[in-house]
Amino acid sequence: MKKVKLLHLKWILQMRQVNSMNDYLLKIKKDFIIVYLARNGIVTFLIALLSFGYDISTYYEISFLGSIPRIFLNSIYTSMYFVLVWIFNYLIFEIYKIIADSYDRTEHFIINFMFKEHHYSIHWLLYIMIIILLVMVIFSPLPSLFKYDMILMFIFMILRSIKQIYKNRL
Amino acid sequence: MKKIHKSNLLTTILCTLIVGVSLYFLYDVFYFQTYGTKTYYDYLLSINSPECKLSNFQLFKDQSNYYCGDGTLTLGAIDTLQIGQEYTISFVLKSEGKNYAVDYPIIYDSDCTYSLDNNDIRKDLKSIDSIKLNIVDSNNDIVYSKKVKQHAIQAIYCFNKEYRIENACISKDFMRLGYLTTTNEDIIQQYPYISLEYRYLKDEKGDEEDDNNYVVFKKISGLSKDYVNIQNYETYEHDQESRGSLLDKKLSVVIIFSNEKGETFTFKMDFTNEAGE
Repeated sequence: MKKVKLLHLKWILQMRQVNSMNDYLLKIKKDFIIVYLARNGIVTFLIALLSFGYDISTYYEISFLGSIPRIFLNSIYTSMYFVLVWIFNYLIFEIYKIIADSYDRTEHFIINFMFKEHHYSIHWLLYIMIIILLVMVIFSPLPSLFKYDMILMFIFMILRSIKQIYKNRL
Repeated sequence: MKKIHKSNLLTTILCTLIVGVSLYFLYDVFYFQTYGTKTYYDYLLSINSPECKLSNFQLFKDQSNYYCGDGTLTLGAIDTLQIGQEYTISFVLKSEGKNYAVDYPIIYDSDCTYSLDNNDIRKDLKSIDSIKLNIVDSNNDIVYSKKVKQHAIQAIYCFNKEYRIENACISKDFMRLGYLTTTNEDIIQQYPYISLEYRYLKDEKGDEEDDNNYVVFKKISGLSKDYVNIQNYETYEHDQESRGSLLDKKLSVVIIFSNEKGETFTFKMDFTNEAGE
């Protein structure tokens, strides 16, 4: 009888462990979903941080890490401007997403090809437009901060469209 | 494009325009607050020895300005130098392990003071490790050499409506006292004698109006015509170890004009880090 009770207790403990494990995995999954949903916000933040950090470190001839306190602790105007550039990046990326997703549904300016039993479609006009904009930004009289920011944004847009090609393959 | 996508796109474009316009109009404020002028170095050079005295020689570089010179060198009797011979005074600036020279040709005379003009041939150097003064003869042999003392300085300002102390600067253990200028030139005739008392506050928490709460570290007395509106620079060497850094002191100057009748005109001015008009 005692042995049965012990076995029962052991089983309860094991079940509790499994439940806590499930809760833990669920929590990780939730955290991952939050990060996934916020991925564009995170990447646009990193782009703003890289542009500001690089521009300030070039100006003061200091290390990239040394420039970070100058972004957030130097002046409220610097921090505020950083946040504005971040929001600006996010909005630009949203505009790009809406245009690119609508354009993906059209049948114009497409290159179709087969690769390893999958059918891929590339909307080439989008890349041409991004490259033209990139060249315009590089040669424009914009401040260097915005040049770095826009170059990184265009790279991010191209990476996203490559991901879309892979995602939409047949 | 679907209707919902169109409305999303329009809303996002509108928001982007608002943020973009804010970025455009705030850029000047952001630039001013973020990208200050970077000063690479600001030194006042000095040598204080009986045979060689260098004063008021400034070495300064920021992103748009450079000075090297504007000082004077007084040479006393130096055995290795011959009167009437041509020599070159060479400031050897050591930067990143290499030596760079700034030369001034002179004809030597004992107790002669040489004016060293601004010379910008070394304006590309972004750091200075040490400085040496060499006197070189016509055969390029070094006949005299002395280490130059570098004082890392910062400008300080002192003014009221009529009076101003110009070109004063301090380091931890040194002060160039500057010189007094005024728009009221009649003061020289009215009060032919002047006394300037440079002082700092003994106890920061104490009474600033109490004269006993001040340490007078330098007193200059003389004729007003020699000290007012005349670029007459004097310096003060401060004992940092026993008295603390000059940079942490609250500095002021008491100016006392007087005449033969015993009449006096006294006022005080505080030194600040901010320039003003």
